[in-house]
Amino acid sequence: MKKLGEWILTVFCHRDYYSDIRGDLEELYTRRLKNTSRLNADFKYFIAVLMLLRPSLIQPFKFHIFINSPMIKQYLKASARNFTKHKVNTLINIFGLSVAVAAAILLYGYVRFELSYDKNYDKKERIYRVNNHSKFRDRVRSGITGSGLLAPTLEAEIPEVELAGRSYYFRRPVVQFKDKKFRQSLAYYADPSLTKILEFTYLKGDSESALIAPNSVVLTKETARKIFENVDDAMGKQLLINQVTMQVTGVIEDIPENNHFTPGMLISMSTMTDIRWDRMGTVTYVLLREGLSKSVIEDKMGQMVEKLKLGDPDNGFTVWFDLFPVTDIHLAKDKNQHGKGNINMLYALSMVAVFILLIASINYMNLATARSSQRAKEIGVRKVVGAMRRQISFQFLIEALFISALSVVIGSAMALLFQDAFIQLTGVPAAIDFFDRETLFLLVGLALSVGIVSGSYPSLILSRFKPVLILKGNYPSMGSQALRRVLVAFQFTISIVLIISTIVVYQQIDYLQNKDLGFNKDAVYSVALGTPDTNNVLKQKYLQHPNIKAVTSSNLMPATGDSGATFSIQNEEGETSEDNVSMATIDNDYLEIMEIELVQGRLFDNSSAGLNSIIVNETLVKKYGWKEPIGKFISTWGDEEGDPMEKYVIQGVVKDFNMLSLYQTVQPFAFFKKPKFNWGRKYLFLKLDGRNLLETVTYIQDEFESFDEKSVFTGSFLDAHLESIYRKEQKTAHIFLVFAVLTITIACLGLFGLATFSLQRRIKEISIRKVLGAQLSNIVKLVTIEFIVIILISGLIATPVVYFVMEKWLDSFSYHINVTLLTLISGVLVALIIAMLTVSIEAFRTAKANPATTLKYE
Amino acid sequence: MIEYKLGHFEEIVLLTVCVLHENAYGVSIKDEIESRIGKGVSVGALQSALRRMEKKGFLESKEGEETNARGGRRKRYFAITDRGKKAVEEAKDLRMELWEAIPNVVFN
Repeated sequence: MKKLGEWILTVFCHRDYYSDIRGDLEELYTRRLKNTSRLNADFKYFIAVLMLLRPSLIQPFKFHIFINSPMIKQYLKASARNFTKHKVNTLINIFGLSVAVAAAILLYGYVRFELSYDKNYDKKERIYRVNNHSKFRDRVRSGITGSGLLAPTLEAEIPEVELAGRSYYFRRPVVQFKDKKFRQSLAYYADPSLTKILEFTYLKGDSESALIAPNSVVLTKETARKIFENVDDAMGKQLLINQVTMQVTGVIEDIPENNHFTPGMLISMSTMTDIRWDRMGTVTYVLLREGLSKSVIEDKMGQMVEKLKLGDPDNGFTVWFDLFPVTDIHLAKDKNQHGKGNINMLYALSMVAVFILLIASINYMNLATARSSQRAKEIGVRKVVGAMRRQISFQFLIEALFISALSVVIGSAMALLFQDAFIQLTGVPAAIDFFDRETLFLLVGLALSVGIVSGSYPSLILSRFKPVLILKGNYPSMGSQALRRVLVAFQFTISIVLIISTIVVYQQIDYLQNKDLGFNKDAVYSVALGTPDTNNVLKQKYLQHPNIKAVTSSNLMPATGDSGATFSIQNEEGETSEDNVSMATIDNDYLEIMEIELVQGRLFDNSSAGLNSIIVNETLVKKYGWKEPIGKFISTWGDEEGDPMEKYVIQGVVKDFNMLSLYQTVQPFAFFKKPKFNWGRKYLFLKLDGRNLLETVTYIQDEFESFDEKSVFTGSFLDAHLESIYRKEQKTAHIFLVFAVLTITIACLGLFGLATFSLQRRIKEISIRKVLGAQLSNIVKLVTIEFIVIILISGLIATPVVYFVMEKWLDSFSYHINVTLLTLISGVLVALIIAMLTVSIEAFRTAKANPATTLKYE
Repeated sequence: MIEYKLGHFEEIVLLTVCVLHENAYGVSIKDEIESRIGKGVSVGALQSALRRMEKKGFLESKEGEETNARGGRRKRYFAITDRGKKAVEEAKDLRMELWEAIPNVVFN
C-alpha cells in the first residue's frame, strides 16, 4: 500500500515539491510506525497521498507519455501489419474475445434483471410484506398468507403503518364480455391501498375511486386489450366474472416484469364477504412511515397481538407476525417467500462470465508470448533506435487494448444478435439497453480490463528482450513454457467443470422425468370441471367415445400442490399425535385407472356404506408403525365447541406414489370416498387408448362445451403436465449446455493456435524424423502427448471440485442421482477428445507434409 | 490591499511559521497546528497552503540538513518574508478595528 502511494506520488506530484513532500510523509510514516501497526501506518500514508492530489500540488499533465500521437499511430500500424500477417492468429484472438464479451454482456443483462426485482418503487425501502406465523401444540405454520382482517387492524392499531393493503388469489376466473370468454390467470382481490403501496400507475380511474365498491374491477392494459378493441372503451363496462356482473372502474399500466406481484386483473376486496381471523389466504403489504426500522413495527405488532388476544396462549395457540422487505422477495432463500429467483444461480452465472473472459484472455496471452519470436526483430530494432523498455511494453499494451476494444464492439453486436435467443433460453426478459450509462461503463470497463489482463504479461515478456541477442539471430526466452501450460490447464479445468456439470444436470432431469411415480401417467387426459358432474352426464358422454377407455374423477391434480388436513392418529403403542395428512376424494375406480397398486385390504365399491372408509399410502402406515393397518383409524379433532370427532377407518393400503414434485419426499396420504370431502375443483381423468388422439381431444372439448357453457375448457395430458414442473431445471440445463459449449470452443481455439505454432516451429524436426523413418502415428503422438498430459491434469483438478459442487446442488432434490465416477470420467474424456481433434487436424497436416519441401531451404 | 489577502487557514499557517521561527518545516508546522487547534491537518492541505503563500511571496524557503527519518531527504524550512509580515499585521489590524467597532452591548 505504501509502495502504491509512493508510485502515485512520483507520477502526480509536482516535481518542485516532490522531494520535500516525500520527506515529510516519510518522517510522519516512521513516527507512526513506532506508535501503531504497520498496516495502520501504511494506510495513513496512502490516505495522505490521496489527499495530496489537489490542483495546486500535482504536476501539469505531461501528455507526451500518454498521447504521443505519431508514435501511437506507428504502434497501431505495426500491430495492423502484424495482424494481417498472421490472420489465423488474429482471428482466433478476436473471435474468442468477442464471443466471450458477448457471453459476458448477456449474462450481465440476466444478472442485472434478476437483481432489479422490486427495486423500482419510489418508496421501496418502506414497503414490506407481512409474514404470518402461528404455533399450535408444537406445530408451527409460517407463510405469507394470513387473515384478511390483519391489514385494516394494522392501519387502525399502529399509527406508524401509513398504508396496509391486501391481495387474495382468485383462481383463474372465467371472464365474459359479449361473445368473448376466457380464463383469466393472475387475478386477485385487492385493496385500493395495495395499488398505492405497490405504486401501480392508473391510466383510467385512480386509487381513490377504483376498487372501492363491491364488484368493481381494475384491468391492466394488456388484459383490457384482450377484451376491448380500444383500451379507452374499458371504463364503466360490465364484465361477467364467474357469472357475477362486475364493473370496470380503472385501467392500470402493465406491471413491469421485474415485479414479484404481477396481476392481470384486480377485483375490489370489498367484494369478498366473510373475512374472519380464522380465514386465511390473504397476503398483506404495508407501507411504513419514513425513518422507521421494521423491528419497531414488529414489536408493535407483538403488542397488538396481545391487546386483541389474537392468540390463545392458554390453549397452546400463539400467533406472531414479522415483516419482509419487498425488495428481497425475489431472491429470498426462504422458500416461504415464494421468490422465483435463485441467488446461487446468479453467483454461478457471474462466475461463468468471468471465467469465459479469462479463458479468452489467456488465449491472447499464450498466443502473444508463444509467437513473440516473430516480433523479436521488430523489438530489437526499436530498442536499437532508442525505444525504452517502457515504450515497448506500452506498445504491446496498446496492441492488446486495440484488440480488446475491437472485440467489445464485435461482442456487443453479437450480444444484440443473440439477445432474443438468450431470452428464450433463460426465460428472463433481460433486454440490454446499450445506451444505458451503466452498460456503457461495463463495456468500457470490459475493453480496458480485458486489454490490460491479456496484454500485461505479453508486454512484460516482449519488452524484456535484449537487442544484441535478438539481432544476432538468437531468439531467447519467449515467456515461460511452463506458465503457458499452467494457463492451458486452467482453461481446461474450467471447461471440464462446465462439461461435467452439464452432464449431471441433464442426468438429473432425465431421472426425474422417468422415475416411476407409482402411478401410470401415460395416455391420461385431465379435464378441469367448472361445474360438478354430479350425475355423471359428462362421464357417460365421454365413455361413448371408442378411443376413451375409462373415465374417473378426483379433486387432486397431480403436481399442482395438494390439500391436507390435520388428523389425530394413534400409533402402534397407543400414543396419540397430530399430523398433517394430504388427501384426495376419488371415484371408486380411480385407483385402478391410475394404476396405483393396492397392497392390502380392498378398493372402494359402490355400496353406500363405508362413507368413512379411507385408503392410505404405505408412508402413513410406516410412520405409525401399524402392523395390521386395516381397521385402524384417523380422526378429526373435536374442537372446543364440542363437535364430535369423526373417525375414518382404513380399508386399504396402496403403494407409495408421487403426485407432487420430486423435490419432496412422499408424505402421508389418504384417499376419501366420494362424496365425502367433495370440495375443491374437480378433475376428470380420461384413460385413452392412444389412437386418434387429435380427434379424441377435439371430442372431449366439444362435449365439455356443450355440457357446461359457462366455463372455459382446460385440459392437458398428464405426462406433459408433469414434465412442466421441471421446466426450471430444464432451463438451467440448457444454459449450462450453451456456456459449456462456448467455453470449450474458446479454449480449443487457443489450443489450436498454440498447436499450430508449435508445429510450425518443429516442422524441420518432424521432417527429419520422417526421413529417418518415423511413422505418421509416431509423429502425431509426439506432438499431442503434451496436450494430453495437460488435459488429464486439468481433469484431476476439475473432478473433485465439480463433484463437490454438483453433489450439493443435487441435495436440493429429495430424489436424486449421484455423481458417478463414470460421469466424471466421461466429462474429462469429452474434453480430451475435442481437444485432441483440434490438435490432431493440424498435427496430421504437418506430419503428412513432404519432407523434401520443408527441408529444401536449409 | 488585495495582494495581502489571507484565508483563515493561511493565516494560521503563517502565524505558526512565525511561532516556530527557525524550526518551521512540513512536519513541525503540522504538529504545531494540530496541537493548537486539536484537529488533524492533512499533509496535502498544509503543503498546498505553504506553496500558495510562497508563490504569493509571504513565505520563503530553504533546504535544510538530511535526516535518516526522512529517508535521506532534506527538510525545507520556511520563514516569513516582509510581505508576509505585512499581510499578518494587516489581518490583525483589520480584526482589531472590527473588535473595537463592536458596540459594548453586544458582549455584555
